[in-house]
Amino acid sequence: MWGEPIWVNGNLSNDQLYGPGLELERSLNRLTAQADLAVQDSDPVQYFLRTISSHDMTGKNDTFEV
Amino acid sequence: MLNWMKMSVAPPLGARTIRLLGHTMRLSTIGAETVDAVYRQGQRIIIAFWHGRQLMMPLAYRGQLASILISQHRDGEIIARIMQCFGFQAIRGSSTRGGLRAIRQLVTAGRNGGDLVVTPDGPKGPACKVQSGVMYLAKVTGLPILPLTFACSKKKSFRVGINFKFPIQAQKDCSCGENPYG
Repeated sequence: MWGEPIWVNGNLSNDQLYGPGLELERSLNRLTAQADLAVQDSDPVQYFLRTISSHDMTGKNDTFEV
Repeated sequence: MLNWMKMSVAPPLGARTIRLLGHTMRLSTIGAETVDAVYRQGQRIIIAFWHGRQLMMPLAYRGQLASILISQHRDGEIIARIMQCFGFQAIRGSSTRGGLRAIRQLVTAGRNGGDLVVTPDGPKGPACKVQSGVMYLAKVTGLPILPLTFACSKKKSFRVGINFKFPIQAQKDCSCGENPYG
């Protein structure tokens, strides 16, 4: 999974590199979390368990078409 | 003898194992249009991914020439030779040893028209924390950093370096990449 490009201004001082560094860190962590989530769905057991655990057992949120 | 085995037999075996693993997975790429758009502009890139997600990255590379930063540790030598099997140029160094020389070599490689590949948290960590080297590299070369990651549905985590992920089950979806240039 690829993220968006991060450009670092050549005029930044070494101290100012902290900002883009933090942006890269957040981007990598977000991408990794998304990728982990994306492949989770391919595991049929995990998918089934998550589906039943997120299902509203009261049925209040169910919608029906007549 | 053991050293000879590690340096001569392990690298090609490791490269074949990665390729074999790749063949047993359903690889899919997300966000590849971003990096392809950058390449279409004739721009070279710095590819950054966490150290623990590096195993299948050779299969995700979409460019044609890349230099990869690998530590000077003896295990790094095996990784460097495995990467050479995939056509990458290994540049040896890390924040603890040979870092300055490695940065200079990476800057030269970037200015000569190659892509650069780094793990911004390095082999010693702290895991998933960006160190300053990659930012300095981007500043000096003017190349954009492209974040990249990999995930697989079944994996085993090892304490090799920092939390190394190894895919263990075939025929499962993997979010990685495929090289359009073969």
